[in-house]
Amino acid sequence: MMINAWDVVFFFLAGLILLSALGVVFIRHPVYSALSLLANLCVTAILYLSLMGAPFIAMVQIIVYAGAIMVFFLFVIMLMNLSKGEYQERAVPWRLLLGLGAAALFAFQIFILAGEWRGVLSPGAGGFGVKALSHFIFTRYILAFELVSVLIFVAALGAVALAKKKL
Amino acid sequence: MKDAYWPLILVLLLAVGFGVVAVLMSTLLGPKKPDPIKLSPYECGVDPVGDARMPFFVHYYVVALLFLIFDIEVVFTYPWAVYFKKLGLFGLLEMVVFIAVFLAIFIYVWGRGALEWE
Amino acid sequence: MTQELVLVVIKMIVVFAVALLVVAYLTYFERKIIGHMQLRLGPMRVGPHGLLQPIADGLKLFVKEDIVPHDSDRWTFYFAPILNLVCALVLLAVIPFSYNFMVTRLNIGVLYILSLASVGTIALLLAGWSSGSKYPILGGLRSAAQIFSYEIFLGFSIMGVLMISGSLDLVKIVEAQSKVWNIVYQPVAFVVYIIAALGELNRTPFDLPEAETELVAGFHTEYSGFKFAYFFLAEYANMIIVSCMAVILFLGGWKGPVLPGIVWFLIKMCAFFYFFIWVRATFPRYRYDQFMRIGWKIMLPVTLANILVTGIVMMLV
Repeated sequence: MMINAWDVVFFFLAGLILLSALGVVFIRHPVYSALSLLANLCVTAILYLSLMGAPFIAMVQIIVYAGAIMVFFLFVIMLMNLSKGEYQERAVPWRLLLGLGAAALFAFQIFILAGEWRGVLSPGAGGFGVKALSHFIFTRYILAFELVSVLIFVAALGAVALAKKKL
Repeated sequence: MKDAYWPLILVLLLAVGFGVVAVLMSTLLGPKKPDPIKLSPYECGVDPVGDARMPFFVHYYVVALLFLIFDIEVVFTYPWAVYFKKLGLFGLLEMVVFIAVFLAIFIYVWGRGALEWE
Repeated sequence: MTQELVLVVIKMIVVFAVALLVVAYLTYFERKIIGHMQLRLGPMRVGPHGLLQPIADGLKLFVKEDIVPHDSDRWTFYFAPILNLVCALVLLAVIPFSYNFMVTRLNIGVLYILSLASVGTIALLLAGWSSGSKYPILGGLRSAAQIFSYEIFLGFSIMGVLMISGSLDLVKIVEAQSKVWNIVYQPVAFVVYIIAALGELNRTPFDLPEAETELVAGFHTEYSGFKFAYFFLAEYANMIIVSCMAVILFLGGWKGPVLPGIVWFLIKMCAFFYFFIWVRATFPRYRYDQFMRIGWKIMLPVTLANILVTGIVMMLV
């Protein structure tokens, strides 16, 4: 197995992703943990951009995750607005069980992807241009596309129901 | 001129470099005469009342959730808009269905009063 | 490769330097124009007609004392203004000022701008939170909620342009307007875009997060010195970006007779600056519930209708 320049880039970015992911888990302070997640999402976007040749996915990653979901997390942290000390000690019940579940899921993914990342991660391999992507979404996967809108409908129902309860 | 993504890294480095260095220099150059009154949180000159970190109005939360949901809708529309010319009538019908569902969501949310700001 | 690298570095430095200069003088012209609209002279003391005022302001902010309130969170307090400025500056890299003059060309330029602009919201929230004071937190929440509400239909409003040009590449979008500018095909989208832009920029009549009478100065109440200057710079840099995008998407970018492309681009851009300043001098501030109502209940349905009508017309023609 030869190591080329793209492998180096991959391992560098993967290292950053792992590091920031660990940061999300181990940092107690909610805002710093959220910032670690932000770093994680952005580096993942850079990975998509540089190694997979998928600029559209990379940008959507930033718009949806960093620009919407992350902002939402921070927003909620600010709305709850915990004072210092309140977030220091809060043990989650069945922490061990949750951890094992996540580990199992991770192992499963490793199993699926083992030996395949080289094929996926080479610049321009898939050629996931916007048009190619649109072609698939709006012809072959059209049913899935329309179902997404139904899924969003359900999510909106949930959002309004949750908020009404609190108001 | 061809597409290139690598200059973005240089641009990012330059922007971050400028941002960090200028603030550090300004911090080092400026005078430092802290006193307890100067460093207290601003509250129109009155002594701060209570803690600033307290929970806020829940309606902000609803707006944020709706934004999250509708943003995904917008993201799905970009590839459609770019590819619309090739898709033709079929594409238009697809979007009509998509927007119809969106309108249903919208009317429901409106009807439940989630868009009212009181 | 080396030649390319040098070229990119030179272009980058030119664009950044000019942008910072433009930002500085934008503040001067804003004060001057609003001054004259209100029958005042505006800044007059520093240099002839106050021409050196922005430089004096910048120097003053640079050597000011750097105050960090004791309830604040020091790291995020420094991080927020830097993030805000960086998010605004990196956007300048993809703006095509003429067919050849841009730092780099991306085939997803529109999305690049929208994505990093949305990350800028995080900076405002962090700034509000890290100050550890009441007004900044409220201001930060308001800014974010405002940007949330207007980002949705900002996205929808440019959909018509994307349908016509069939590309996310800013250069191709301009090239598609060789004969007729998009504003002719998309007048409704243009108006909606401008309103959304005013909302996103937190400018009058939508400068609610900075409503002095309610919130002192919004999320940057506790900021002073150069960190305050960063928010200021970022706000005006974002104004440049929004104007550039309006020119590229709706007004045919660098297209125009006789004069070279870059001159046309700058003329159109300045027209937008003037428009934004004019609006500030003319309109009173909206109330928050009115602002939300305009966004969600009027603009959103209008943009959706615009997409469908554009689609139907494109089918028929």
